[in-house]
Amino acid sequence: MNEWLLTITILAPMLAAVILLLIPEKQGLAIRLVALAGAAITLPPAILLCLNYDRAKGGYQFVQDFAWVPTLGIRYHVAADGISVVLILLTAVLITGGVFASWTRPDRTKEFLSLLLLLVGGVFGVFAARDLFFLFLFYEIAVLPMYLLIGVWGTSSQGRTKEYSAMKLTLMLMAGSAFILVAILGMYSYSTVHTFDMDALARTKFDAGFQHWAFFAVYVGFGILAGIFPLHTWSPDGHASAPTAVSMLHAGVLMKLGAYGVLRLGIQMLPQGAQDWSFVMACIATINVLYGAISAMGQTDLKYIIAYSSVSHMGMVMLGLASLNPVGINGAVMQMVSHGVMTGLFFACVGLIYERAHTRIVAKMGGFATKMPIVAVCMTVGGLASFGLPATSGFIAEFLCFYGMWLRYPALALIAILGIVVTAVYVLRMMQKIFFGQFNPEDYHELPDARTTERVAISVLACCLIGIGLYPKPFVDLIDIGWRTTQRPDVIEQARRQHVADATHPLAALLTPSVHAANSETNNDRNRGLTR
Amino acid sequence: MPVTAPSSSEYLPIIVFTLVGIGFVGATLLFSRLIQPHAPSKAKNSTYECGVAPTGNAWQQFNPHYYLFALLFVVFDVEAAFLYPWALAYRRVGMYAVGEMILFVVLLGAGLVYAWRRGALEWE
Amino acid sequence: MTDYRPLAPYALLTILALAVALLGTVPAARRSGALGWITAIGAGLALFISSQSPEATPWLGMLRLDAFSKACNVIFLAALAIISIASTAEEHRTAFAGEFYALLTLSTVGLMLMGASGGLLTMYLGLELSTIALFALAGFSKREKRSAEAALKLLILGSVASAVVLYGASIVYGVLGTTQFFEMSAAMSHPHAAGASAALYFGITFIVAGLAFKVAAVPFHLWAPDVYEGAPSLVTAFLSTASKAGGFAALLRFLGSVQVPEDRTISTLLIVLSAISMIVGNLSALSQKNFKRMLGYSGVAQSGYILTALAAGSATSKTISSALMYLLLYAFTNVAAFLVAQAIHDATGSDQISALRGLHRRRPTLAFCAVVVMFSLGGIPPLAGFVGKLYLFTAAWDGGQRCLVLIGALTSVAALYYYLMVVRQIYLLDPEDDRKITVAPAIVMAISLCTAAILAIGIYPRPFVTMGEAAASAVQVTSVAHQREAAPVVAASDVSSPHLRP
Repeated sequence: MNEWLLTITILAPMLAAVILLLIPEKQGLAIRLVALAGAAITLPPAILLCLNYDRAKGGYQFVQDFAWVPTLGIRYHVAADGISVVLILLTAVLITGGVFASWTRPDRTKEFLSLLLLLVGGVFGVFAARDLFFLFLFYEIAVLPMYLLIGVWGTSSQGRTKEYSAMKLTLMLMAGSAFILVAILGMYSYSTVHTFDMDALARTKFDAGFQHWAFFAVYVGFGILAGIFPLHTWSPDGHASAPTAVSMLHAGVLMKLGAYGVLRLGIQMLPQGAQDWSFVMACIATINVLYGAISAMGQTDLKYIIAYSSVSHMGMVMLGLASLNPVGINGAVMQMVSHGVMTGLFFACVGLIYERAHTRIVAKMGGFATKMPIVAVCMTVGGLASFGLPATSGFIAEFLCFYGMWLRYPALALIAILGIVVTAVYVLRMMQKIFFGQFNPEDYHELPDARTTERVAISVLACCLIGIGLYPKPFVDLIDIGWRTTQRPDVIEQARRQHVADATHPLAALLTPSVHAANSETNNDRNRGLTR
Repeated sequence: MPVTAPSSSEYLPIIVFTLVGIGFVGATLLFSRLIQPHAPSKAKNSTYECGVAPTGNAWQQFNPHYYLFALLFVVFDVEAAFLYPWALAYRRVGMYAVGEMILFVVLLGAGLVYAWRRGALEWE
Repeated sequence: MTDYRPLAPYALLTILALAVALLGTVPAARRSGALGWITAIGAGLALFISSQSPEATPWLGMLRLDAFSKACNVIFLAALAIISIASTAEEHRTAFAGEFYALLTLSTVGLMLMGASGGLLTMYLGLELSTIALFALAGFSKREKRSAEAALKLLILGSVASAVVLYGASIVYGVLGTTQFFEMSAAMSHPHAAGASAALYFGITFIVAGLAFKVAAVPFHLWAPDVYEGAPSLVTAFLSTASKAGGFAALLRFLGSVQVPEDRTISTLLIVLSAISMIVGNLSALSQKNFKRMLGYSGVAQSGYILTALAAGSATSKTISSALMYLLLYAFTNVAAFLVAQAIHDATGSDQISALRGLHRRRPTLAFCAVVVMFSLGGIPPLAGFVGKLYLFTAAWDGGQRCLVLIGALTSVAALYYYLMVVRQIYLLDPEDDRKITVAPAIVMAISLCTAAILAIGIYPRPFVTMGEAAASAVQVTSVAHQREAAPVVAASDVSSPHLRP
């Protein structure tokens, strides 16, 4: 059973997407129920994956592996480690929320939900794939539907038409794909074996020169999706134009695919290249954090604020990754989860507010808390999490990211932390204006609170944020084990031989637990995870 | 059968031959030009023993049906040209040659039937 | 006694062409649309026979009926069958339906000869047979001025290309003393052959240039957009897929056999052709308003993609198998694209991209298929175009053509823009005229077949890769085996024919 879990998770939404196409458009309820089934059916396997993951054993589990096109070295190989299972769970939660959020969507629901489910199937596939061919295939399946989702169902705003945003997003991400493809072909052809299998490639010893450029290609390719600084411009336009459920999934999960790709293909497969580019990555990530936050401060459109805050938060993820040490990486993945839930919640709330108030301009709003208390509470929780208030998931995640960076480049960490301050400024100002200012009854005669389905969706997401914040141990444990047990064998061997005690080395924790035992007093939950 | 690459010296006789040919014709023309008397007149310049002088435009419209007949004629003309060597050789090749020729004639026949059915043989 | 059974598919199609032409003179047969079905069934039957027949090299190796020719036949016959089915639609049952199918079938026979050619003569014969039939087909809509223009352009430029091939072939024969492919390598590796290499390259360049015309690679592409636009879409569908595949089949046969040892002249030639085809094709397509013209330029770029693999050196089996697989899936994809153009033309009378506007409301099935086709052309997974392009680029990368792969990957992004502009018209914009449009069931059926094939190849490419690799090894095995066989013959001829060396 266990080995089928991943395949079920990938195929269930795709199957639902196909079934949806066969239902006549008039059967509105049936369409929504099938879509909900296709989304929610992934929850039990996702939870099972987290529960059944053997923490003592570590490594890749739930393996399913058979030859697909043997002569080309393509295998259908799916497997998950601790990082993957956590991200799969995140995706399952968000797609279910996304279907709820699009419950009342009026036109062409069938195609909309079908594309949304197809996209999610691709996302699951990327998190599970252990074969570069399938990883790339799923990656494209996850990215491409976005063109139609934004182009058909989006809204035009601020002089940017939805077609423009959709085209910009697609072309920029596809340019990234071109880089990824080149890197993948390079890895494929490097060894004499000619395989796309990531396990086999992990045993290949790439030389330093190759790693240098291959990592660069991977970083740029996936980095575009993760919103790295000069290449992030698709993100605000895209997110602002996209309909609610799409923004939720795109900012919540899809941008994580970028970071995940950098982690899996870049840092894990090309560790030497990652070391070469670590400083550049750290600098760009710092710019991301600050630039995103400052840009968000200057926005008037609610969606643009959230979109720029996503750029800033993805910067924190990249900051954690750039540290290349277990603390930072754990932080990065935690931030992926935290930001995924948080931004999903944000976009869901913004969608609700826009649907009722028919405006997204913050200056025109005020005193909404009296009219829609549930939305106000949930969005405030999200806001608090976004600048890392303790007892929310944002705290543990951002703390680990900054701490990881502190261990590697302390100066950059100090600069990046300023981003938190800016974040607090724009988030609190936004909340204050929307929910607690003066309510103007002439502009808005009717502002009902969320409907039941929506209420369920947003409060579940808000509870997740607080839940993870209060008790992050299960997630941190999974991520930590996943990261530590899936290293390339040659990296472990090399590190062991050199007895690297340098705290900045990615394997420092593995080899010198004492360093971390001393450093991790601040967080008891992590303590056990790292010194196990 | 592969042969070895010819060297440039093998082409030398051809070049010499070409040059001699051009030189001979050129020299003859030049020589006659030098020694001939030159006294043109109208009668001398007219077309010599070639029927009546042409009148009107040479660009005339033909009925395109002529082309069809011409094409069909060429097809069977070629067939006839093929039949002569075939008749000489078939004794050596045997029944195989008979089969080949029947196939050839049938193919041509199919073309004729097609032209006929299409109405190419009808003169309107 | 030669075994003639492997020739059965060729004979069958020739008879089919004659029979259909004769049947076309019967008005009842024309009006019922039976001719198209007969052609399609004939093509299917030929495909079956071809796949079952044993391998052979009849007539002193003039024809090579091996796995390669069989793989090529799959491409040509699939295109023929699908186009025949589509053209059974009521609108295309004209007075000249019989001639249409006959010419199409004859052209296919020509292409099959190119795929099965064992030497320059057979290759040229096939090239002429296929191209001459296409001259007539391009001008098939006699009353349309653009169709006549297309036919004339194809005729004049095609004749020049033929002449160029023939000129190159004569030089190659002059240098190597043979027109048979498998004797060429042997003749070339002969010690005395070294001095003649400049002339040999001259000849090879001419042959490659002539075939580059057939596959519409830059700078020999100028005819393609005009002819694609002017010719009837059903003919363009054939011209842009099967005919192009024929050109590539000949190129693969020829370059697979003529491997000049330790020399990069030919591959430099192909690199240049490939790079400028991808760049010029994709950039020119960006600004097109006419759907068929846009597909014409996109076809130029697609030739460039295939040439990346060829540039990597025809010695590797991946080059041949990836090119064949791409040609097969491209046949399905582009035939479907032009059938969409035909369907839109039948319904609205326009070939503009804007005529597709709001197709998702006017004809949802057709819209879905059209989008699948566009995404497959753009190389989006899980569709066939993605697997094919990846395979091509893998072959190119393995052959050391990393720059070409980079150019290919980046121009693919530009290409995606114009494919998405079509998708935008179909899905994003609402129609000006909300009424449903009627599309002939035959065309819908043909397009659906293609779409199914695109999905099938994309999701499970294994059988097609296997087919391609068998074909590749067939080309190589014969060239290597004959090289060994032929080597002593050269030595013998050296001694036994002293008149060759005065």
